[in-house]
Amino acid sequence: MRRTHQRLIAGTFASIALTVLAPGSTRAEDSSISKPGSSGDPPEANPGSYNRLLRELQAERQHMREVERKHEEEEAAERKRIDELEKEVSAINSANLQLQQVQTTLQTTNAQTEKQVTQIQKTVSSELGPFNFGDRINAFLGQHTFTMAGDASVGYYYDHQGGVNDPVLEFEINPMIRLADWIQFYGAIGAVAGPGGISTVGPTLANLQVFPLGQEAPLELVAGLFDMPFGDFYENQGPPWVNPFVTAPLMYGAEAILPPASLGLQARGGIQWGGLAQDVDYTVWADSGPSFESSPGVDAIPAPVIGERLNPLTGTNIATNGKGFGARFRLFPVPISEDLGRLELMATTYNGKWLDSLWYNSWGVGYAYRLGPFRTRGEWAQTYRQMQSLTGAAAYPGCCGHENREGWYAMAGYFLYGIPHPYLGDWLEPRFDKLEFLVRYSGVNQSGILANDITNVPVQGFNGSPSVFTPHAREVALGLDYWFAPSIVWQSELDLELPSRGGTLYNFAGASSVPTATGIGPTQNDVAAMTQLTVGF
Amino acid sequence: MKSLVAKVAIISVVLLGAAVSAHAAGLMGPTPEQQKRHLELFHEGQALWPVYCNHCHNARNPAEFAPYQWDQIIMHMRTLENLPPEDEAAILEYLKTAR
Repeated sequence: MRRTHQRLIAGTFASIALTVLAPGSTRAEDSSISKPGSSGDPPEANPGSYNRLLRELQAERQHMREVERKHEEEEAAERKRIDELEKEVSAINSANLQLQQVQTTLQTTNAQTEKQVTQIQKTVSSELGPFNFGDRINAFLGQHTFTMAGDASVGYYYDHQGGVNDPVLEFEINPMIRLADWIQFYGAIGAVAGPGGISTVGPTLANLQVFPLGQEAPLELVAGLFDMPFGDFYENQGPPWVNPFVTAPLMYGAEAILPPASLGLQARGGIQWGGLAQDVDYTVWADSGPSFESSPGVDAIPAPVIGERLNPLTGTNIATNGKGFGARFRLFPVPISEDLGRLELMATTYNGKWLDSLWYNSWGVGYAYRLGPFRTRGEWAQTYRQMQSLTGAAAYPGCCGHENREGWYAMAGYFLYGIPHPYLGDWLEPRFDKLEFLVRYSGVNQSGILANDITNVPVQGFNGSPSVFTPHAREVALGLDYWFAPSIVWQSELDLELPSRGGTLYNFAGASSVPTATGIGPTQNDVAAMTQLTVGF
Repeated sequence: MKSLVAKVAIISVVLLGAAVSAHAAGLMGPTPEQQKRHLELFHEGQALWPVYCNHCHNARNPAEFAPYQWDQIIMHMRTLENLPPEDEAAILEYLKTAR
């Protein structure tokens, strides 16, 4: 290109030069055209004119070279710009093609996904069956969830009269299987260990908690093996981490006057009748009836006798030929808005046939109250047991008629965080706050005691004192708890056994099926000390 | 490019599946009315939790159990304490939210 332009420029200059430097021809023609006398004087052909023309030609040549150079530069820039634009267009075309491909792919994928979703919906619908039957069943049964709770405790017991100086251990696990919002299984199984050996306990509880009208209705059914809902202790205060004492009060412990568990069906619920936390609740139940250690199927002693122990588990595998019925009502009169704590008042009754047509009747009242660091609760209960009418050789002194028992307890506790103590310092103060002082007084009255029941072998909750087994047992328990956490507690307890008076001691000696009866005075006073670490989980 | 398409496809399927599941479970997010109700229940449960629990034992820390475990434990506690249904719901809301 450049060479072509150079030739063109050279040719142009040559033409101009020939035109200018050929005066003989053109000038002659011009002279012939411009003859004197026509329009003016003919030009003079002298060297100055030629030099001037040459300079003009050189300037013109220089100018044209400049123009040509600029033109070449502009042309090069334009071509460069064109090349760049061509590249950009090519890149845009390529990107556009890629986008089209991606769009096509996405459309394909989306179509496949929709197809899959449709297929899944069809599959689910087909599995659920017509009218969403399966969906309704799933909503009804829900998803099963499982939780394990429980407790464990290890302690060391000392008792003066019983010669107890032994460690004891207990653990219990509580599986909870929630089948749906309206039904849950609850169980309890555990073991105890001590100087009497190791024994598994359980299942002590196994029941279904059912809400037949849904969670919003104040009606629940409990079917199976459950804690006896007499008073509050068996149901609510039984676990070692809940009971602030190591031992149970006499009427629910070593000298129990009420069965601790039962097999049957409960209906229960609570409603708010006033302000917030101002409630009333009910529990009614029917079960397989109370039984004693002489009951058929248990046969721990050869014949029924006054003072014999209630079986720890009522009704299971025991043919008492009777059923039991119970009811408990509780009232919580203080609303939360009053900031006066929570007060509970309750009354319970439990009645049934303990053997054939023989009645066992019981009733009791109780209270519980908590306000800040202070808490107290107490119960009183009385039981009536209709005895067999025995004659002849089977009769023994005091055998016939009925047997009454009476039991009570009252306890109080105070967390030391309620006492101002700014002087203790940063280290001691939080530890001081976790201490709780406790005191409990409990007693049982009954006309007789069975020698076969007396033991000095401690188990968790029983200190091993033989002084407990007396017709008129009295116990003062002093406690000091250190709460590491709400459910982790180190408990220490000092028990003073202070029997008030005697009664009758019954005894099945040897293979005799007729007990002997001996009048006795009060047993000796006794003292027991226990310490125990308990964890609820 | 193929890997990109594959990723896009997988993410699309997952998101679509999640959306279908969430819609089916009614978990697309609470409405303002539901949020207000939850807040009311929470405050009510906050007040009731120490009162009801401390009545029998020390109130347990909400962080001790997972929400599904609280469902079960409170169901059992309702049995023992005969909690009114609305109070049980409030305490459960508090425990599950506070944890």
